[in-house]
Amino acid sequence: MQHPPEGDAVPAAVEVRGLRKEFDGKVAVEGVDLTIPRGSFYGLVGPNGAGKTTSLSMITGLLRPDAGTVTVAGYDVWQDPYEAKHRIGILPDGLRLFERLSGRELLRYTGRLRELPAPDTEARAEELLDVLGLTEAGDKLVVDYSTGMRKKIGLAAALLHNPPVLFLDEPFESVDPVSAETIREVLRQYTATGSTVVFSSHVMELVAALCTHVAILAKGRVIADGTLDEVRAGRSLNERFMELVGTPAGKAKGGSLAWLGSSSG
Amino acid sequence: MVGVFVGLKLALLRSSLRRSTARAVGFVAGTVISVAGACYAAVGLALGQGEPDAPDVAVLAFAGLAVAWLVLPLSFGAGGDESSDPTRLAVLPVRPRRLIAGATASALIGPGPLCTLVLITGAVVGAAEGALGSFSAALVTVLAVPLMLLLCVVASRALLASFARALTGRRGKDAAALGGVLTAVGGYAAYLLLTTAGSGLALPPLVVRVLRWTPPGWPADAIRAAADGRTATALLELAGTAALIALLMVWWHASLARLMTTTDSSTAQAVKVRAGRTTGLRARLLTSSRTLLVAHHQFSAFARSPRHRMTMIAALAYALLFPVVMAAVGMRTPYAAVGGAWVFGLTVPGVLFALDGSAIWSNVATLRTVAHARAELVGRLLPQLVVIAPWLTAVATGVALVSGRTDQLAAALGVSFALLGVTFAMGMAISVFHPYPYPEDPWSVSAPGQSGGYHLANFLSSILGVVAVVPVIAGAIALNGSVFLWLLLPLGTAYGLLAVLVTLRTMGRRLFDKAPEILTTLRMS
Ligand SMILES: Nc1ncnc2c1ncn2[C@@H]1O[C@H](COP(=O)(O)OP(=O)(O)OP(=O)(O)O)[C@@H](O)[C@H]1O
Ligand SMILES: [Mg+2]
Repeated sequence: MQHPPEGDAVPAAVEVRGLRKEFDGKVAVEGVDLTIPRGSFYGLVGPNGAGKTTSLSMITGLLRPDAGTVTVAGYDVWQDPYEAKHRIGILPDGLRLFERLSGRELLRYTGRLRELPAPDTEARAEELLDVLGLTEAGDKLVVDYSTGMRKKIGLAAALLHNPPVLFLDEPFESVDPVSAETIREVLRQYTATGSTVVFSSHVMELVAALCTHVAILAKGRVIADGTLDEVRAGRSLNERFMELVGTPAGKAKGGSLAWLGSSSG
Repeated sequence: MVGVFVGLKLALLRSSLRRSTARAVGFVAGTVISVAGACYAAVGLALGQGEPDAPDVAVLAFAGLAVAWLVLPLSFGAGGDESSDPTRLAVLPVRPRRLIAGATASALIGPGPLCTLVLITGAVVGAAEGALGSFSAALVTVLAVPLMLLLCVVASRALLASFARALTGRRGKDAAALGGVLTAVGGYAAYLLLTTAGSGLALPPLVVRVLRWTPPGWPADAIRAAADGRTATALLELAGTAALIALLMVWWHASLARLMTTTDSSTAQAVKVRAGRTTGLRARLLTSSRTLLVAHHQFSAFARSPRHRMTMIAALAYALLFPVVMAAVGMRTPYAAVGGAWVFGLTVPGVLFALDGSAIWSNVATLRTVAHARAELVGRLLPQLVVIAPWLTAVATGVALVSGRTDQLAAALGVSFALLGVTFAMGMAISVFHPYPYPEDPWSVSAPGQSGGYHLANFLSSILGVVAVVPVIAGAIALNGSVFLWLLLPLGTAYGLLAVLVTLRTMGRRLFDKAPEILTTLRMS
């Protein structure tokens, strides 16, 4: 179809306003605002525990926010789940898959839950398994899958109903380089037609290479967001990230952990 | 090492209970109820002191405890104690003896061992007439208590460790066979309990004499031997018990070592699932009806998970054994099938989302209408219903034909179906209000007290279920002997159906509203 148009004229694919979540009095996400343009490839980065998974869960309707609103493709996720859920694809992190289904059955089950016509599900599932290199493992139970294979089958399930907006929590974690390249190609193709991908990652090079937009999260807040060039401000994304969230690596240089490495046993 | 294990167990228990008030309340309530029950039974046993058959009662009690310790953890996972997992310490250089000592110490902590200790003490006091006459007799009596407790705990752990692969293994090909054995043993234990509870001590003396020669009978018999002045016999019996405990510890350690260093042998050749044809009628049905889709999914999950398959088989077997046992004690009537329905409610419906755990996120992500939510609930009940309803019908019919009480068949089925309906209604309500994740791995450290909550929920719901079908039971009593007794079949069925439908309306709504919260709870497993 057409390329994502520039400027503010296009309604955003995802609007997040004042998102907040506390766990037992400890704030995990503290007023996150994000505007994710349609057709963008949006990277969410931040140190461990920054609140990426928590934010993505709230945005996709899996975790109820304490405050804030989320609109996906124009529909409020928490007020109008009927329309919104239909338009969302999710690869969550830290949630189980149906271990006792085979990969192929998992896709079939997902397709049926999504109310796709059976022949479409079949055809798409086979194609996805093929592209992701899972054809051979398609009849194995998910319980026997490796970590990377789980990510890939989860990605296939998220793509199955061809949602306009896709949320992926660490999709490249444990995925081998060849598969990662395939996934990148699939996702590039997907955003080129106006669909939107939001994903979290710890690999700065990957984010810098793929994303049109980036948001940096730290301690439950967005500390920088915008187009890739705006955020990185003339430096590499990695340098900028270190600058913004601080470098505890300095601590390791400064003499602590001195006992480590001088093996005496 | 003992200190480390005990500290670890206590810390895990504390943090798990702190994470959820509901879980803490469930754990405390379960502990209080079971300890209170144990105290009641123990006082009963202790008051038997001086009766001529008191030593026999002690033998029976010890045998019953040992069987319970062997059977219950196997058929219900680790029975509410998933906190001590020595396999997780495989990376630490720990010597076998210290590992087992530590693991034993931590296995002794918890409501189960506490109740057992109370019961053993009661039985020992009951059998201890004249035991305080001499120092050696008193010593034997006092020693019998910890030895018996250790025997129960260590035997249970050793057995569990050696069957751990079969229970959690991906194929679990041995599990079904094991289920059969356990059921037979469990049925026999139930028979023992029923006959002793029903009519004082109806067991033939031969049984007691045989039981006295089995290991749990040794410490019990030692008390009597010591009181009678046969000190050598008593000491020999205690020494035998101690030696057996040591042997069991060696077996336990060998099983643990195997668990630590080998992978599940069933993965050596990964399971391939034939994906059937998916066009055609079945595919169309599954695509068009979310209820059927969820039911189909649930059914294959049950069929493929060895532990759940075993629970199901055991429940079916108990439903069959119950009338048989009842017939043996003289209650020859199809009404015994109601007991089968009750046992089923006790073991199976449980918590509807327990099987999937946090994997239900994909259902939550596609839950777009209240109708979808109702389909989730009904779909999870259907597979169990289509298995148990025909089964109960067959059992009741069989009993009616054999006992010649075909006149009571319709009414018995009516009461059974009413109870089933109420049980399922309760299962829905509990699942939505207090979802519990069922630990896939009975050795998981993550959440002690968790499967305790699961069983407590089942137990409470089966008690409430009986209360809720009182009108139907009253109807059966009122119409007893009348020609209208058959009316109970349609009425009871309608009663059960109504309970399901009414609950479904409200719980479907609530599931739709609270699905993310339920997911959050399941995520904590
Ligand atoms: N269910 C929960 N209960 C309590 N605290 C939680 C829960 N889930 C997340 N947290 C806390 O919320 C904070 C944010 O966690 P989150 O998982 O969102 O981080 P993240 O950015 O995804 O980290 P990572 O990069 O390691 O995946 C952390 O401090 C975490 O401890
Ligand atoms: Mg995360």
